[in-house]
Amino acid sequence: MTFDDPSMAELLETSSEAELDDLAFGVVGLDREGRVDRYNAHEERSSGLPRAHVMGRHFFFDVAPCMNNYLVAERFEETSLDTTMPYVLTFRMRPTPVRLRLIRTQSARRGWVLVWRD
Amino acid sequence: MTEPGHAPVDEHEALLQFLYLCPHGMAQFDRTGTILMLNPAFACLTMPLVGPGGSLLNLIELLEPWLPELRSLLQDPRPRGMICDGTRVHLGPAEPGQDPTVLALTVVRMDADRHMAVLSDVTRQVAFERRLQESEAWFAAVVQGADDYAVLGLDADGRVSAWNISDERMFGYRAEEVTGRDAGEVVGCGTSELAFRERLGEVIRDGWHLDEGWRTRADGSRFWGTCIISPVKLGADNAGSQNRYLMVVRDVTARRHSARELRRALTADHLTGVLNRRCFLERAEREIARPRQQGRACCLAMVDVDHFKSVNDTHGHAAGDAVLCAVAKLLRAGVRDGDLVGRLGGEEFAILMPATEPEFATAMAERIRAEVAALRLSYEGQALRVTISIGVSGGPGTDLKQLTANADAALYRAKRNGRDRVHRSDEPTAAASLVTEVW
Repeated sequence: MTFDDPSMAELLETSSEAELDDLAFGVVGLDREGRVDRYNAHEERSSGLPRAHVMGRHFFFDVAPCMNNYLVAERFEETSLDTTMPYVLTFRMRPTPVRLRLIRTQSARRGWVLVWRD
Repeated sequence: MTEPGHAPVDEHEALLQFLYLCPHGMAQFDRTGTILMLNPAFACLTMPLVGPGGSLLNLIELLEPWLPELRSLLQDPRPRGMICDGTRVHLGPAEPGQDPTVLALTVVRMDADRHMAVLSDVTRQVAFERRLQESEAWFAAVVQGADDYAVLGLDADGRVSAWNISDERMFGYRAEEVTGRDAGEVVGCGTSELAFRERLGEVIRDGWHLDEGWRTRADGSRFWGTCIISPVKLGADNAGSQNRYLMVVRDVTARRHSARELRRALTADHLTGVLNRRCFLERAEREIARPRQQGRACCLAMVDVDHFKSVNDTHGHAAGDAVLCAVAKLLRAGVRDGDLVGRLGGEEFAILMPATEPEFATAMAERIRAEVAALRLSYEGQALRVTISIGVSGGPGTDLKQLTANADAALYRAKRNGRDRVHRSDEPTAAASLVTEVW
């Protein structure tokens, strides 16, 4: 499974925790309310935020306020979404250029934030 | 239980969290503009500014399209200090119905290679300021064009706090002459401070207060003005002491004049200016029907000009009119406030005196009779003498019809007994003959 895989949504839905942990990019799964319900090992390592600290919390309010703007958070109001964009995250206050892939499927009504760090 | 070795780590996490959740953007950058550190709010505010192919790595380049002067501001040779403080960054037109985004940037130089930037979204504040300016401009335009009203502001104590061109025009005072003075004294027609304070109390209680009266201008001239005061709430939770007031004064002298003219046309006798027959009878009925204090009843005096027909025949109708006007004038001058004077027709007048003892009414009628008799009228060079006869009735429990009949009967006796005299309806015959003897 690569970062640009066109059938990423289905792959993620059917992946086990272990399969997600093996990926070479960060994966954050959001439930309908925007709370974190999937969080893979790569993202845990890269962000420095332990999984226990993140699970169940509102992603854009509590975990990643740097994405709470119209470029990212507001995109999830769209019923169907799959887009990739350059972005800058603030990891430990350092500007960190990344590629973000935002996915929301109409059927599952849940969201995915994938983070590719160069 | 925190192990001693872990405490700094927890503190570190807490500090990160503190910076992470700060609602204002914070960033540190070097002399070239390269961003060294930034908090999420800074990224959140600036990411939308990153164009295609751009990055969030250099603050000068990032803000170049909206704040080109940042580059030259950073040329400032000072080793440390404020580079800019709350500089507005206008991001240009917004979606229809939305306010254009405006950021405020503050940059402090800490040393040659370290700058601290604080960035805030002040869109709402700027929109609010703009609306305030628009309101002020609108208000100024309204006030500029006003020539029959003036708007002024009062502080919590009722002192003039805002005085503009409309007030200057209406009252003739300049702002520096009246600011801080008691508004009751300046525009409240000399109302005492205490009375004005009570009026402001009513404003708070009722939401407004309206009064009407004479106002005096700086040059001493007067105008008739209405004055409405309304409270200005500074905030939902402000206590009464924080209230301010808005006062609108209108010059209604002209309107008052025309209203008075209209009222006069409807109620007054066109020749003499006293009440006309219809209005006199209407008001007299009302006055008699009104419950009286101390059981005092109304008195009615019927007044008739003696030998009026011969005045008309000898000197003409114009002379007759002049006589009627002169008599009406003395009648009006001779009664008290609250008494009614009417012309019932021809040379016949009537006076209604509410809550009056018959003795008093008779004495008043007598005084008026004497004044008329003493009157020296001249019409086109000819001397005119005129006298009146008066019949007075009064007493409790009588209606207008009865009062009129009694007063008419007394008037008839006054005429029969030689005119130029006053008779009371209930006086004994002996007293009547006494009056006859005197006059």
